[in-house]
Order: sequence, then structure tokens, then C-alpha cells
Amino acid sequence: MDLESSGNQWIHLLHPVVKVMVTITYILFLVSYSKYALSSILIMGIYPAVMIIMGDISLKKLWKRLKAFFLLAFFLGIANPFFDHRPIFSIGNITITGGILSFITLYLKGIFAITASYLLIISTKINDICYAFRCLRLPKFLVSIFLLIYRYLFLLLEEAEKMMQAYALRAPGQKGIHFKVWGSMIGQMLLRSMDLAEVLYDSMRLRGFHGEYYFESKRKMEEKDYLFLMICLLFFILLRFFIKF
Amino acid sequence: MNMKECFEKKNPLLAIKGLSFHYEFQKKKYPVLKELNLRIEQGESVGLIGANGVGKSTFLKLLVGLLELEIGEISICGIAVEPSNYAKIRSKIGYVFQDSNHQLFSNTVYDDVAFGPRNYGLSQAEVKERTENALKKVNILPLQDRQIHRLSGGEKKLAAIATILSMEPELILFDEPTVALDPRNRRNLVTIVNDLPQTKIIASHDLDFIEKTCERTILLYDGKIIADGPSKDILHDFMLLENHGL
Repeated sequence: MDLESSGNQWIHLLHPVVKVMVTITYILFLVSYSKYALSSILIMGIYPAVMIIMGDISLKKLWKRLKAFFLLAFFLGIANPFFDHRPIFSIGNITITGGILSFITLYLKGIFAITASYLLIISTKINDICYAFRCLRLPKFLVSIFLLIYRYLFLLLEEAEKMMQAYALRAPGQKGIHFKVWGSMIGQMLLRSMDLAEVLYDSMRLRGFHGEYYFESKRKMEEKDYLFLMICLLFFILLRFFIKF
Repeated sequence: MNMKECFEKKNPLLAIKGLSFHYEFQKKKYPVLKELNLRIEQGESVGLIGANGVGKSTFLKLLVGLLELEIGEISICGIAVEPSNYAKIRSKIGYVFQDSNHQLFSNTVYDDVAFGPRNYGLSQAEVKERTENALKKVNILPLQDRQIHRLSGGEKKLAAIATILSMEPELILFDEPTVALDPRNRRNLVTIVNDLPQTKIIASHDLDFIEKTCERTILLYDGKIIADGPSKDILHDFMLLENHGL
């Protein structure tokens, strides 16, 4: 995903601040709809659909990477049909209750919000996203933490992989990790991650870090960036406040 | 006194007087360094050798204030190593960690190498110039956009050195620089280290590397300096090395 974020499609070349603003606005507008506003939510799906088509984003990769999150979104509202039995409308003999409608709406909201975030990540380098956050006045410590977690995650995954390999080599023929060693393995990971965090922080202090991560300033926003921002915002506002389905 | 004045007045780059240090564990004290006295002049390349646990890394960490000084004095060009001077001292000392993963935390090689200069408030043009120069010196300019976690061990080591060079330090501390390097990367590192004009202190178990890169060697044993002299004398005195854990 990191490599893909350095692409040359028009979506990659937009100013990061614009992309972050549009994504945040989209998600905020999306979640602001009522739980029964299925038709409006469906229309909101136009934004990710257009971005996927115009940005030449691979749907296959999108599905592969996001299916776990889509599954998670599915379970978020799965209990709704059991609590809300109020009939809303019928399709033939099938009565659609408030619970079913709110479940579908919640699921679509989840899918669209996840997809919009994915589109941002796939088209913008992590440093550019953080730069945009700083431009939008997000506190510097939050941005630094966000960036470090991103980097730290890879180091922790490497550590976890090494531990799993070391275990597997001494437990041939065993499927997975025996539950009896889960505790000590997690404990070890915690200790290692604490050591790692400490030494990384030392390394940062030695190079002059004093709480703020500085980013290279980007090119100024151009007409195309403003145009994209205006079109998107106008679309979201019209859909939310003036066009009713 | 700034570094330039220091060199003009021919002060030692590093002066250590009566340095002692201990670690404490379960209320028991474990001395690591005992009454060390040392002078290192500008431009010297000094190897620091000794058995495991003898205090080589501790010594390096004391120089940059990662460990706080207990007894004794350390001054770098007349500037005392103490908390109020850490920022000034650290801007002039580069510390290359044993494990490059501990040193590299940014997303790309360029961002990591540019991290130090950005923190010191340099302009974007200066940051770019310093970063590219540092990458050129260690021959990894083509890797500047590569993600850190996609580098090989040897490339990570070179990137770690570049992160230090971009700060244009006067003194570079290397902690076990050849660990996990293959012979080719190790040879490459010898050339790079020898080409660096800065004062260097290299803590290592790799005696061959020390011989190829340092004209002076210090042997630590039981917290004390046992030998301090030309590398070729110390590193070829097998009796001395064997009697002191090497």
C-alpha cells in the first residue's frame, strides 16, 4: 500500500490537505445520516465509486485488503433486527422492519467510510497525511504518535514473526502456538516493545527531537486542488441538506 | 566555546576525568566503569575493545547523555556533558546504534536522514542538500525513497550512518558497527568509515575491523583502561587480549 501511494494517477497528485479534508468531511456527513436513511446513504456511495473508477484503483486488491474490515462492519449492527421489529415497508410478502433497515444502513455506512479511508491511504504517503493533519491544526503530539505507531507496527510485527519462527522451529509438527505459552509470549512481546520504544526514543532525542515531528512542506495548492475540494464539498452538502430521497 | 574555537585553541575533542559509573539492581550496585581518564584529539579514530559487559556501550551512552554521569567529568571541546548542555552536545555527536532498527523510525530513507537537520531548524533547501550529501557519502542515494522496512541489513546500516552524517557531527560513535553484516558489506563499511574525516570512537568485538579503521585502540577490562596505544601493538599482543577476555 505504501508503494502504491507513490503512484502517478491524478488522485495521487492531489494536494494531501485536500484529500484529508474531503475524506474527513465525507465520513462526517456519512455518519450524520439517520439510521433509516438508506437511499441517501446509497447515493453517498457515488463518491468512493467515482474515486475508484477515476483513480484506477484495483477492486480485487481493495476486496482482499478490506474484507476483514467489511466483516467487522457487518457484525456491528447485526443485533438490530432482533430489537427493532417496527415494520417500515414491504416488498411483496417480506416486511422490512426498522431493525433490518438500520442494520443495512449501518453496514453501508461502515463499508463506505472504510473504503473512503482506504482511498486516502492508497493515494497518499503516510508522511503527507501527517503533514496534512498538522496543516489542519491537529495537535503535534497526536500526529507524532500516529506516525510512530505506523513505523513501530512493522518493527513489532518483525519481532512477533521472529518469536513465532523460533517457537515453530522448536515445536515441529505442532499446529499454531499452544495456549499454555500464549501468556509468556505476549509478556515477552510487551517487554521487547517497551525496550524498543525506549531505544527508539533515545535515537530520536540524539537527533534533536523535542516533541514535534517536522514534515517537508509541500507545493502550494493549485486550481485543480481547489476545484476538487469545491466539487466534493458541494456534492456532500447538496446531498445532505437539499436533495431528499 | 564552540567547536571551531575549540579546534583553533587545540583543546582535546574529548576529555574524561575520573569517570565512574555503576548500574543498580535490587538495591545492589554493579560498577561498570571505574576511574577512567582519557583524552581524544580531533581527527583521531579510536577503537574501543573489551569483553561482553565490560562497559563499552555504557561508555558511549555516557558521552551523549543517554546515561547520566555520576562521578567524574566529561567535556567535549570544553563543553561539559551535563543535562543543560545535552542539546548542544548532541548536535555535534553522532551515535550509530548497534541495531539499525533502533535508529531508523521514519517511513522512508530520505525522511529518516532528513530527521536530524529538520529538528535543528534548517531550511528546506539545506535539509535537502545535507540529506543528499549524506546519502551520497554512503552510496545509497538511489535508495532514498525506499521504505525502511524493505531495506536489507547492510542497507539499513548504511542508512543509519547517513542519518548521523546529515547532522554533520564532529564526533561519531559507532556501537558494534559490523554486527550482522556480510563480508562484502563489512568491506564497504571499512571504506566508508575510513573516508569519514570526523573523530570516531568505534566500540566493537571485531578486532580486524578495528585494526583497519582505527590508529589507536583502548582495551577495557573490569571497568578500567588496561591498554591505550597504537592499534597494531595492542591488537597483535595476543597474550594481552587473551588475559583480558578477548
